[in-house]
Amino acid sequence: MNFTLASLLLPFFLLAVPIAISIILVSVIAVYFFTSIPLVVVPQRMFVGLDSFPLMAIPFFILAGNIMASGGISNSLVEFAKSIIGRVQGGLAATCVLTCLFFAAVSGSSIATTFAIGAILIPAMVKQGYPKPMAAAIQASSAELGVLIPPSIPLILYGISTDTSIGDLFIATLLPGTIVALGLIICVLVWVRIKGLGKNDAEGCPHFTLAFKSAIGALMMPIIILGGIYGGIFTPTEASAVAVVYALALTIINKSFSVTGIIEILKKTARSTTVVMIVISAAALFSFLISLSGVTDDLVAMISSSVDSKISFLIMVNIFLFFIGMFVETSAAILIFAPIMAPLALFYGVDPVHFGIIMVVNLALGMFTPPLGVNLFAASQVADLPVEKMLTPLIPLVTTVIICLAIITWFPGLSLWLPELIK
Amino acid sequence: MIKKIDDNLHKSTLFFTAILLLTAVFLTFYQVLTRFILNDPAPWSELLARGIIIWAVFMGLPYAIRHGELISIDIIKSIFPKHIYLIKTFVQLVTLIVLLVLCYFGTEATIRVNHQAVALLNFSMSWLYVAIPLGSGLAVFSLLLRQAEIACQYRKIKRAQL
Repeated sequence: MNFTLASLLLPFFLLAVPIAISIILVSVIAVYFFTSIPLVVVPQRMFVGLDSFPLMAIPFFILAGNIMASGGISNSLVEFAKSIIGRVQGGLAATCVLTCLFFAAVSGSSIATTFAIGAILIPAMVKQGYPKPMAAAIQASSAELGVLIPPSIPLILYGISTDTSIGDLFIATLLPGTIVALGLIICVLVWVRIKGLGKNDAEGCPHFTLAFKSAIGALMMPIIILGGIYGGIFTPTEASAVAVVYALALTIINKSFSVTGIIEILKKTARSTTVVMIVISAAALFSFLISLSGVTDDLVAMISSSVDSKISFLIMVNIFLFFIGMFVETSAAILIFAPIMAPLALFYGVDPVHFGIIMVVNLALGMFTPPLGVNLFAASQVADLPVEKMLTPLIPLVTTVIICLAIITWFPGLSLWLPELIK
Repeated sequence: MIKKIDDNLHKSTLFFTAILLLTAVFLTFYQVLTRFILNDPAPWSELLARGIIIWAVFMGLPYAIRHGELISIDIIKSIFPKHIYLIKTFVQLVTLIVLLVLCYFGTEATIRVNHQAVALLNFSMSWLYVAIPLGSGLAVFSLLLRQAEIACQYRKIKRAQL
């Protein structure tokens, strides 16, 4: 059933059948026609796939991020970032990148980041004379930092589907995430100078200590999460529950707490939980069939006979993932491809942690590349602007991230140095 | 009458899912607390929280199906905007097949594990498995309601064109 399985998925995907439904249907077809296993294996494998403690970190981190986003945190993070970098020419654009970097540390998703930060900074940039498409494009691309800085939902998924330590992945992504942020900041600062924009960005820049004081509550969260995980105090899942309780406590202290507000946030989180977790459940079924069919071994044999070096393998994988990322949603892409590709990477001597970072940085690019970039849609909604208008200003930003990706791929030390240091 | 059921069913399943989520959070937090304060971690809380999350996922399914929220690659809809109803109906049909399979074989799986008890907790595994047939069964109903809505929209547009 090897390749029939994979090739059946594509037409369903292209016909707009939901990814989870396509995967389940193709698995049902495969089990029914190509094996003698009874169909009861379908719900059983889906159940087993969901019955995992590490997985629970996903809804919890989404919940913590949603609570944080509602609690007036976004405003104080914007002010804090502004107080650091806002004084230079183009400071507002750089503030956008930096705020997204901070916000990423409390949220695991990039769409939430686009909505929360974009609602404040896109109008602010437009007011300072930035063209709207440019402001929206900067927001859409900065928001990808949401998945590059821990907590990161794609990294949790990679960890679960390839049996890699989520704690190691979280710490490994810190440097690469910072590199992407720096790259974007340099890109926007050079860009505004060429265009002669953002000369009055220093206007209304808050004082550092004042801004720091109001942002400290949010800034403590990543320290609690990462410190807790690395201090051996709690597991990533427990850290996510602590993060939820911490975020709740923060809203109570900030006096933005309301029962109806929390219920709305819970409902919103419930919706995204089902949508994300049903794909995970279906992917668990699919990877069970994949391992049963031995398609991974075939693939390793096939690719290793045609691709001879580690570098050409990495280049090939990056090009492949870039195209996949353009069309397939990040979580789904990781769930489908990580279990197949990670053994291949290991065969070429690529560390699984490093490979996870490459995959996530690459697929995150897909969030703001057309035709299907979730951040583009979110930014176009916030800015009230058609996606097509953003295409030209996206070019320098996408190029910058591709250069960062190349650097991260080429130097494994950037990803592996920190985890080894801590061990 | 149907509209009332439609509203109540989806509101209540979503609310139920939200409560389940919050419960799972507190159970996990409780586990951290017991380990620190009492120095005696309660392993049952983790097992229960896992079961609750499975329930949450499948209880959220009716709402997700009703509003067509499952992640999909929608590019074809912008390529063939004229055939959007045809595409939607096709997607509905495929989804219906999957839900029926899940409901039928989910029931079988639930019956099979009837004699298995959840480790450390004194109840049958069936109580956890039953979320699959229950959630997908309710979702079949949501799917039919959605189809009725899609058909209504289609008729309206056809009438407007005439």
